[in-house]
Amino acid sequence: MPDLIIRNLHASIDGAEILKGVDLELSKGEVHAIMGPNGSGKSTLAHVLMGHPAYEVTDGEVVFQGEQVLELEPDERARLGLFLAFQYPSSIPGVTVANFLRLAVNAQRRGADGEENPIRIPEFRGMLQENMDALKIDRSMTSRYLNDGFSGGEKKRMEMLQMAMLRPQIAILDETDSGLDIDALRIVSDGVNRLVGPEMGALVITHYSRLLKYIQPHHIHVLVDGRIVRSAGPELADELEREGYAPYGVQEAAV
Amino acid sequence: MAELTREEQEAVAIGDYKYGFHDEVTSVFDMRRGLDEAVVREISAHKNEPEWMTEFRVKSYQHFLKRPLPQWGADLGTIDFDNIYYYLKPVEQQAKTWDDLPPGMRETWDKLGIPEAEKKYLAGVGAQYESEVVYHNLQEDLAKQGVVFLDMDSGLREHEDLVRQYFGTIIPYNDNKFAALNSAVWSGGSFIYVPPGVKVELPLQAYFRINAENMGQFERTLIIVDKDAYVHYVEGCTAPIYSTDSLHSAVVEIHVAEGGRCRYTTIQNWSTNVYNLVTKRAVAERNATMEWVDGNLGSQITMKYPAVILNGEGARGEVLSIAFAGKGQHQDAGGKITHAAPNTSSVITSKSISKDGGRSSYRGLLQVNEGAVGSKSKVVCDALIIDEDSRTDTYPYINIDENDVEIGHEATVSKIGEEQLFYLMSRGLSEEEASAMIVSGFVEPITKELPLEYAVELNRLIQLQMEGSVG
Amino acid sequence: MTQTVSEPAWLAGQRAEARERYAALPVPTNREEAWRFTNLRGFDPDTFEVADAAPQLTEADLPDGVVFGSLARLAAEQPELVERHYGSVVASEEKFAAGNAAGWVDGVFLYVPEGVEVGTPLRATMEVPAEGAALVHRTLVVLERGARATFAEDYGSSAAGYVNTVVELVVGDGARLEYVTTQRHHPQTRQFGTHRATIGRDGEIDWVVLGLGGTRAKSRIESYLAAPGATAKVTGAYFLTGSEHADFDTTQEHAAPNTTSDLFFKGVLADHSRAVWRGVIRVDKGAQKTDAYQENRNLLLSHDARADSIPGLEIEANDVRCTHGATIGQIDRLQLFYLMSRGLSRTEAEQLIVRGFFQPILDRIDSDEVRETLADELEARMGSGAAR
Repeated sequence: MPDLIIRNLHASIDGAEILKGVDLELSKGEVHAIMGPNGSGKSTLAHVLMGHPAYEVTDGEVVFQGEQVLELEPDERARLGLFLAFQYPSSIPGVTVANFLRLAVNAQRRGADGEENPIRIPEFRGMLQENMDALKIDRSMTSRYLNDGFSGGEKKRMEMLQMAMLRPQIAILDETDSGLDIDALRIVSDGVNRLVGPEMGALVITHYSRLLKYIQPHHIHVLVDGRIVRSAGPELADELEREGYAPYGVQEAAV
Repeated sequence: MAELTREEQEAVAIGDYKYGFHDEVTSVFDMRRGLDEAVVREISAHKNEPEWMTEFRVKSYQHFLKRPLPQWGADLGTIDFDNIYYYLKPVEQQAKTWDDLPPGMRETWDKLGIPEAEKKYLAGVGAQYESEVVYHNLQEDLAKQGVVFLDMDSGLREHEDLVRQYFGTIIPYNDNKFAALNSAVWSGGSFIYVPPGVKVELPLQAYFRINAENMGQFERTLIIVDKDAYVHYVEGCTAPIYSTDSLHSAVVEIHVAEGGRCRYTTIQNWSTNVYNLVTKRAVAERNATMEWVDGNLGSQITMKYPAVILNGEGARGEVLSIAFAGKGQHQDAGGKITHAAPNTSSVITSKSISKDGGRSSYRGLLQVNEGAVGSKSKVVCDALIIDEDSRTDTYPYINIDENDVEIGHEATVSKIGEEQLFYLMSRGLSEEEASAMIVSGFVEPITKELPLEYAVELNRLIQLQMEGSVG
Repeated sequence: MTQTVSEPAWLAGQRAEARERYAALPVPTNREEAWRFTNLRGFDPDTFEVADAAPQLTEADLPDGVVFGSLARLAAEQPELVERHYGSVVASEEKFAAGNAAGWVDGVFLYVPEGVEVGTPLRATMEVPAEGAALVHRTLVVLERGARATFAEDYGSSAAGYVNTVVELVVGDGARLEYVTTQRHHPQTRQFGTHRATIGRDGEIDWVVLGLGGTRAKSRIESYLAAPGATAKVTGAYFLTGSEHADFDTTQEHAAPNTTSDLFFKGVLADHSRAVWRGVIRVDKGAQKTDAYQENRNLLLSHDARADSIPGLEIEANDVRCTHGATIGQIDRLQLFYLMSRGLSRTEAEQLIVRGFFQPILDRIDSDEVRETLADELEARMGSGAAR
């Protein structure tokens, strides 16, 4: 059975329906890309999977590890092994990166019965340094406030660091409309490629096919007007780059 | 069995408040409930005080009678002055070691972690229980350098001239109704003198504990920091939870001489049946620095506005205020700065959190006297409201009598952002943990000013307050 | 009192009630929080001779249905129209408001029916007729749904007198009122006024308050945002000289969700003058999505001038945006030096800086006429030797 199953997912915000029946299956070890024009619902899909309170799910189901996910709070989804790399991560002034990561790691280690199993400080420190080195993150970042005053590249690195620390089974990367520069592309792709494998699958959401040159997807899905209208192998990226979304009835410049 | 039952009852009544227990210590001397001139004279006689202090007390009592309750701030009409014990003496003799205390009382201090803290990171400790300081100690090398750290009663006995020079001069007996009350019935508190040039590197701590029901605690503190000296004084306070009210009304006077620096940190965690009505004021002379770090988490009603009079050129004053008002609490806190000399500067930073119908008010006064040219002041008040049942007020009075000054005030009110909450929860934090983390971040500009142990304690208290707030 | 002859019974009844309240209330002392900085010691309003003076009104061709005229006359002629809102906005539990409700002599009534726009700005002028005289006037403005109007009131005195005013403004749903009140007083004249507007759904009020002269004067300026979408913009300017003393007490009360208020008061204080501004933003329970702002800035031209600034927030909702600020400063010496180095005299340079200080206030005013009048007033004040 696939690790993540999305069936006939409908979702709306402020009464406007954005997702109109999305079906998708994804397992660890796989990389799926979702591409689509602006406003097709890509970012909504990412937020609904993680449980953003502003969206209302009106139909369908999401099953992850055999559990009905839609009933769960965002933190419960995270502890099950879902991860969302935000396009625009919030800043939390006054809370240091180190402090936050330790709490998040401990939340992840907490048992289903709520029993605490906090990580020992030396172990945490070792894990943090290893991941920071791998992601080329300066050590001084741990004492800065979470995302507060971070540059675009620093925010990307911070999202990748969190992913590496929390070791999700399925990571969703929301890169919907960001004009990622080469630097940022490398940060994101290095972060994902390091972890994709038997332990993790990824759902990469992007507008441009450029990112897919750095992260090789196994499957590409085209999302238009809240539905997946086409699914194919990695070759679809080139086709989209040549022809844009016009074949799907969307007027927009090439991707 | 009976004891078990009592503990069980307490467990229910106390809830999240960890210090709501009380012990069965019988006091050695009780004044009857209520207050009249005879009680005032009796307290003074019992303490064998000099004549001038007795007269000071009586004069203060008469002013207390005349003075109406303040018509602003929190509602104090419910205080039953006749039902309060104004003086309870818990032990015959002040102890020099913790082991000399009666076992029940010793246990209380252990539960509060004071002997432990003394060993680890304090230069001296005073522990007040009801009306008297029951334990007092100062590191020997500090005593050798001439540092005086005593309870106020001993201070009066051993350093009468110094006390007489300052006592009641910074906060006169007729300053306000509760300062008058304290001046009439004061007992305990700290007397500190730091000689010129001496820097006390580790904090001195005083801990105030109310144990009896309907207790009135009126400690009196006088701190004198001589030229170029430094001291950091920390106070903590807790009380048991009772269904009827207790009153805590302290007066704290501080004099910082030229070039000296004093930092006074309060972590107030009274139980929610305590009225906490405190007057605190410091005078800073030329190039001296006074800093108040004032954390108000407990009590039913707090009215407290630590003040600094910048009396000499180049003096600096700072007030960092945190208030957390939960269910049934009204924290009316803030700060007052008077610029009375040229080129003085001040900063007031206030962070308040209101939750579960609690109300926190910032009330401040910034006064620039004529002639205080080149004064600079900045007041920043940020309020966080956790839910829609709670309330926040901001009253920053600004009186300027001089035109060559730079004064700024800013205030914001915010709630916990939905996006911030979602972001943290998507990393596996529960809503409670995520909210507590955002709140800790909100007050971080102030907690970072505290020694680590106190910052940890403050954050822990905030977490406790945040528990059960969502869901 | 001339109008009592034909006054309707309901009005006579209200006067009688207010008279009792007035008699029972003492003259406020500065032990009361609201009067802390404005001491009325030695002032007895009852020693002034109440003047039988009528307001001077602009003559204008008004659209059908618009009523504009003497309140005393219209209360007698069209009592139903006046009664509907009279006394509904300003309560008379305060000494001076009670005195007004008991003994107002005349004043202005403006009524604009649903959907009607009054194109010409309307103006009323009230003058204290003689030394020792009291002017007790009352204003009631009612804009029905979607109506629009601009109304300016001018209170003046050339001799020491006493003015007591109550101004009630009813801004209906979707209506828009621009209201200007100016005090141009003899340095010894005292004015006590309560001005309060209640603003309906999507309604809008644009206040301009101008304080020039007077002593121990106190004006309460209150906006009550009663329904969603209501907006209040309050702009105040004061310029005081000699020993003049003005006290402004402003309230922005958000009683409904999605309401907006924006208050900005600026003042220049010369000589021994003193200004008090006390402003409160109140957000009632449930008034989510409130957006409220208040700011007070003072420029002190002399060592002896004094400003008290008391911003306040009282907030009982948690999804709000409320900010306030207050600053007090003097003329920047470098600015002054720079301008003087270019050949301007000290007076010219100071005037230029004061003009620049007031410019943001002028920029807030939509109506050209109101803005130009205000600019002229401030210029005239400067020319009178205020900024030396």
